[in-house]
Amino acid sequence: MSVWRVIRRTWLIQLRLRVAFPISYFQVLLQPLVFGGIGLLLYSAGGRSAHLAFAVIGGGLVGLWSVTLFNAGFDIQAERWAGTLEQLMGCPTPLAAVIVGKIASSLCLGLASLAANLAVGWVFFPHLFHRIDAIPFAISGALTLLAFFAISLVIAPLFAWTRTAGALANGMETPAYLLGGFMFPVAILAGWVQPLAGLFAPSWTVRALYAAAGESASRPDYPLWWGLGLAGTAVYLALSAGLFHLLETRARRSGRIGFA
Amino acid sequence: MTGLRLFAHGCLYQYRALFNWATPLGYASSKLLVPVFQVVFFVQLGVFATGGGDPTYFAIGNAMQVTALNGIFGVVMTVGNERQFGTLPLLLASPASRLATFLGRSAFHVVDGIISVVIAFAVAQLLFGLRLAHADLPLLAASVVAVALSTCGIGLLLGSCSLVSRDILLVANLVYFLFLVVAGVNFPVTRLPGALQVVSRGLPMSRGIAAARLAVAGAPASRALPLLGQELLVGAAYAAAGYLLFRVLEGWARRGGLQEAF
Amino acid sequence: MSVAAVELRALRKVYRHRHGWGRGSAETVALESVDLDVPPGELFGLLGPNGAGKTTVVKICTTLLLPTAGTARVLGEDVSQAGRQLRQRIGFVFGGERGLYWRLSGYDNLRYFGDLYRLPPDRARRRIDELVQLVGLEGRIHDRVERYSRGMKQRLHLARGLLHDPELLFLDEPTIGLDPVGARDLRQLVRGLADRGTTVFLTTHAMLEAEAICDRIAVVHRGRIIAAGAPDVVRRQGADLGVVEFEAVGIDDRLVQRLRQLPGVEAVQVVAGELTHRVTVQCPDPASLVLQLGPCLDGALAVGLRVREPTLEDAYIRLVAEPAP
Repeated sequence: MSVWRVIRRTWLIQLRLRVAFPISYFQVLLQPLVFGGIGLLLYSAGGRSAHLAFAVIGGGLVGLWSVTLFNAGFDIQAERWAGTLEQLMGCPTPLAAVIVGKIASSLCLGLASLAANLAVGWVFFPHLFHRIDAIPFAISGALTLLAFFAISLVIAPLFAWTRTAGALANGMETPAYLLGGFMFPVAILAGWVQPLAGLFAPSWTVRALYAAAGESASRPDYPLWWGLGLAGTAVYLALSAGLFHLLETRARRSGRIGFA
Repeated sequence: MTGLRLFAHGCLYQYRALFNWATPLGYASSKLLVPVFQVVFFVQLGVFATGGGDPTYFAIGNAMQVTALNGIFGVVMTVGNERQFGTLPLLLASPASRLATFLGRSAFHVVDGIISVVIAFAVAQLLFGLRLAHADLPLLAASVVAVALSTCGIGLLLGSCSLVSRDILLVANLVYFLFLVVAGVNFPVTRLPGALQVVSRGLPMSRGIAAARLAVAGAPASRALPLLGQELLVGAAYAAAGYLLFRVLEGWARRGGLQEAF
Repeated sequence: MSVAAVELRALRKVYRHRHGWGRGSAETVALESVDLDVPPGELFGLLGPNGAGKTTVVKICTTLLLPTAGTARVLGEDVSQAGRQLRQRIGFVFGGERGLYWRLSGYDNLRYFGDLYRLPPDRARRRIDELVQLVGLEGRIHDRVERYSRGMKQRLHLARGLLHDPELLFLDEPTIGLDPVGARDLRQLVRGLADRGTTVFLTTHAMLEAEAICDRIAVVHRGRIIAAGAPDVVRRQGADLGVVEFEAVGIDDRLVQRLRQLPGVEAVQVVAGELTHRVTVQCPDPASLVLQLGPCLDGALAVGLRVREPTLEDAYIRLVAEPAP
C-alpha cells in the first residue's frame, strides 16, 4: 500500500512540476506537431493521402516517445543533481517506486502530446477517425503505453549508469521512430532491419494500432501482435529489475551514489 | 525535482545528442547515430509517403540540415557553457578582439558541422544510391560550407540571447525543427503556406539546400552561385546581429546591469 | 543487556577509482580497520579531520555503502545483508543544503519523505506538525525550500530524518556551513533528542561541538580509531602535557618547523587570525619551553603568551597531529 502512495505522490508532484516548466510544452506540443505537419505535407503530396493516419497518429507517437525517452533518461540524474538520490537509496521504499511515479507523469505528458495531435487531426481530417476500430485501437494504444513505460524503466537506470550509456540512449530517439514504425509501416524497411524492429516491443503494438486505424496491408492479427508486444514488455521489465538491482549494488560498492 | 530546471537544461544539453564528447563512444553516438538516423528516417518516410518519391531528394535535404545540429546547438552551448562555468567575465575582461573571440566560438562548429554533412552524404550514397557522378563537387562543397557558416550565424545570435535568457534553448529547438519544415529539406518551399514561405526566406539554409540540389544535379554554377551568395548574406546578417547584441550586453554588464546574466 | 546501536568490527573500506578505459585504476583506503561500539541511548560523536573516514563510517551504517571487509551491525542487523527493515529503523541527515526538493515547500518535502518512510497519512500529518514545532519552522513550512536560509534547510533536514521516529539517528557534519547561532540551536535540538531517548551518532570535525553535547566520542584519523571514551577521558589522554599559547606576528613555515623540533614538543598548531597567528604548542614541560621560545622565534614577535591546561581540542590536535618527518 505504501508503495502505491509513493508512486501516486511522485506522479502528482512530478506532473505539477513538469507542467510548470516550458520545456514540457515544447516537447509535448511543438515537436509532435512539427512531425505531424511534415507527415501531412508528405503524405498529401504523393498519391497516398489515404494514409494520412500515419501523419496524424505518427506525430503523436513521436511526441510520446520523445517525452518518455528524455524524461526517463534524466529521472535518476535529476535526483543525483539535487542530492536527493542518497536519501532515496537510504529509505525503505525501493528507488524503482519513485522512478515508476516519475515515468507515469511523463507518460501523462506524452499522452497529452498524442491527444493534441489527434485533436488537430480530428478537426481537419474527421474521416480518418471514422475508420477506427475502437476496441482494438484502445487496446493497442494501452499496450503501446505499457511498452513505453517498460522501456523507460530500462532507460532510467541505464542513464544513471554511465554517461556513455546516456549518450547512446540519446541516439535512440530517431531510430525508435524507424524501428517502431511510428510514421510508416516497418515492412518497408530493409530485410535485415526487420528482426531489430521485432525486438522493439512498440513496433508490434504500433502495428496493431495502425491496423485498427485502417492502415494495414494484410489482415490484422491482433492476438499475435499484442502477445509479442506484451512479451517484449515483460522482457524489458525483467531487464529493468536487474538493472535497478545492479545500480544499487554498484552504488553501494563504489560509494558514488551522490556524484554525477 | 529540485533539479528540474537543471534537468531540463541538462536534457537540452544532451538534446540532439551533441554534447557528450566526454567519451569517444558518446561522441561517436552523437556524430554518427543522430545524423545517420535522421537521414534514414526522413528518406524512408518521404519515399513511402509520396508513393515512391526520389530518395535522393530527401537524402540531400536532410544531409544538409544536419549542420543545424552544430550551427545552432553547438554554438549556443559554447556560449552557454561559458556563462555556466563563469568564464565569461574573464573573457570580457581580456583585451582580446571581441569580434575574433566571438567568431572563434563558432569556428569549431563550422568544421564539425561539415564533417557531419560528409558522413550524412556518405550514408545517402551507401543506402539510397545517391549518385554524385554528374555532380559539380566543388559547388556542392561550397554549398555545404555556406550552410555550415550561415547556420552558425543564427547560432551566434541565439548564443548572445542565451546570455540573457536561459530559455533560449527552447528557441534553439524551435529553430531546429523549423528548418525541417520550412527550409526545403523534405519538400519544396513553394509547397508551404504563404506565411511559412516568408519565414523560410528569413532564415538561412533553404537557399543553400537548393544550391546543393543543383550541384548534385550538375546544373551550371551560374544558377547556384547567386543562391549561395544570398545564403551567406543571410548568415552574415544573423552573425552581425548576434555580435551587436553581444557588444550591447557587454556594455550593460560593464555598467552592472547584467549581473544576473554573467 | 540490550543490543548495541552500532557495532563495528575491523571495518575496512577501499574505494577503487577507474581512470578510464585501459588506464588502470587506483585505490584509496578510506577506513583501515575500525572497531567501535555505541550503546543504545547514547549521543555519540565521531571526530576527525576532513577526509579521516567519518562520512564513510556513516554511509556504511546507513546502508548506502558496502564495507570492503569487516562487519558493521546496526541495531543488531548486519548492514551488508540488511535492507529495507533496517532503513525503516534508522534516520540520517547529511550536512549541507542539498538533498531536499527545493522547488517544493518544506511541508511537501516532509510529506513526501513521510510516504517514502511508509508513514500512514494521518500519522504523517501529526508527526509533521510536531516536528515543525520542534525544529522551529512554523510559519515558514509552506514556503518553497529554495527560499530557506541554510539553517532552515538544515533544520528541515533534521525534521526529515526524524519523521519516522527512528531508533537511531545519524548526523553527518550537521552544523557544517551554519552560522554560530544556527549551529548552537541545532546542537541544542540534537541534545534534546538524545535526552528523550533517541540514539544519536554524530560526526563532526569541530571539537567544541563534540565536547558540548556528546556523551562519548571517538577520534578517527586516517581510517582508524585513535582514541575513544567520554570527552573527559579523551581529554585526559593529554593530561600529562601542558599547553603554551601565544599570538605571533611574522611567523612562517620555517619557524613552525623549528618549533616542532624543540625537545619534548608533541604538537604545534597555527591558526591564522586577522593580523596575527595563534600558535599552540603542546609539551610535557611548558615552563622550559617558554625559555627556549625566545631564541627560536628569531625576530618574530610573540605576544599574550600563556601556559594552560589542555582542552579536548588540544587532545584532538595532538591525536591527529602529523608525525614529525
